[in-house]
Amino acid sequence: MWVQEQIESYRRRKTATEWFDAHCWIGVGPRSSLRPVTTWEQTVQQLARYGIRRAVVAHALARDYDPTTGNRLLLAAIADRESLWGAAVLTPDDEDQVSLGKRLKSLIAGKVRMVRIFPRSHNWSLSDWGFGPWLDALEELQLPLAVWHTETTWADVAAVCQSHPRLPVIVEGPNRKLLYHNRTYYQLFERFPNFHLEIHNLVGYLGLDDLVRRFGSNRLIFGTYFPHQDPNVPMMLVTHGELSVADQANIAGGNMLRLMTEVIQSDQRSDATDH
Amino acid sequence: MIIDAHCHLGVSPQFFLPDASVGTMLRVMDRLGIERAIAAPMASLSGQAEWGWREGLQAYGESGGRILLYAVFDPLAPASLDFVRRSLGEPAAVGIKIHPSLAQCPADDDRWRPVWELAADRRVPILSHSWSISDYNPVQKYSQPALFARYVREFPKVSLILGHSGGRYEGHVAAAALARQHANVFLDLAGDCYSLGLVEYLVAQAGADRILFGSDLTWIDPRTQLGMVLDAELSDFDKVCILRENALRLFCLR
Repeated sequence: MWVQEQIESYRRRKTATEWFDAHCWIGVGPRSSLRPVTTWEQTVQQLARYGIRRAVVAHALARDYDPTTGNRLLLAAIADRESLWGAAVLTPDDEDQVSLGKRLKSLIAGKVRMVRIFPRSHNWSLSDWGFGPWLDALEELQLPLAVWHTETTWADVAAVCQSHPRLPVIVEGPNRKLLYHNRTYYQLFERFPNFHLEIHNLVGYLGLDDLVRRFGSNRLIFGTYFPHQDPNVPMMLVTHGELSVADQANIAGGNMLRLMTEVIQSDQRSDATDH
Repeated sequence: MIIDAHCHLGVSPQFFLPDASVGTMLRVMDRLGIERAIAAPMASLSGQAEWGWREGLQAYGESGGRILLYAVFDPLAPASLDFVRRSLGEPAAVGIKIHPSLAQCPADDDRWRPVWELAADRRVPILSHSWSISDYNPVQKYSQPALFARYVREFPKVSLILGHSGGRYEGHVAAAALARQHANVFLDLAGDCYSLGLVEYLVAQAGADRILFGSDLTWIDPRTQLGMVLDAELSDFDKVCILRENALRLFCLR
């Protein structure tokens, strides 16, 4: 049957690719889900079923209830899970500069490799006056900052990219069409070398390939938004596009691994400075 | 092999499209094993019926018949019904497209009746946009799946394809329910509708013989939905139904 050939070809290409998922969630409630995935074991098993062996995970409680509680649960769970790293949710609650740095280093020691913010939902401003000291501390450690396009404005994203050029800024686009903003993010790619896009919702026709053609593949980050979305959505964009093997490898996991390595190196440099 | 039953032609002012040419569309289709695409011209959906139809016929010719067309009906345009009636006389035309949200006219409104009568008379399917109530796009309320029940019941011989299968969770549940209740309701996978387990859910609710592969190309990349179907926890037979056989039957294609 012709479909068997297509299925096997797709699965072969997926298997041949090293996937690193930069956008997974745990602790998502079953409400409004056609296929709930609620436990750590289910998450790891389901990701493996799709061929994803390594991931950066955030805890839904950190977004939906209390970042401190959610982050604590996250760190406890990923501590002994070799294939999982953490994305901590942050809010700019009162903290002096010294405490900020210590707190972030403590998160890094706990396997956090990214922070994710929700300014709109958590009612604060992603501006220099509102988040400046945090941005300074994140940039110092090169800890990537991820934000959904619906949680901020593109003007704020551009401002952060400009004011903190060594800070990797990753825009993610759940739930609403990122497609409608491509005129904007093309310009951000052009102007800001530290602007990145996570691809789970980069679903516009020819979009991924065109971005690679224009800007290269180094700032495109593979993410699935699991368990909300089917991982095959961004996977087939990578396996069946007009991309070189090197570009596929970069997007599928190489770029996120590079950013994570830079976090460790910055953390070590910072330790050396402290001493 | 594959038939993509929910496509577009041309551009939209809402975003940048790298390449809208028929040539590239055919190249992408070839790479993915898509034999035919059934498309509604974007210009027609934007109120430019004649321009859109002209583009559509050009695409049909340029593609050697691989790109087929939906004639787009606008309930608020007095000449639209006649235009659709004439358009259905073209060999390129295999169905009718309606879009209650763009028209801002609820799917159960009296003004849709003429197109259902026409579809029944000409024995062609209707593809409609369907979506859930949206907190940021209020016109989606006009396309809720439940609103289609009126005409689906009254015209049991007209096949209705609920494009996007209701769009989001609540819409998927409602669309699936409508398909369970009415044998003339079909569901497609087009658009940015990627909930984990969606394909398996729709098959479990409505049956694999009522699900159509659709992408929303040239808005959405067909790789996104194709990967979901190829990797779905379904039999190969069900996948073939979704990717090809259902469309062949529904549109009387060979």
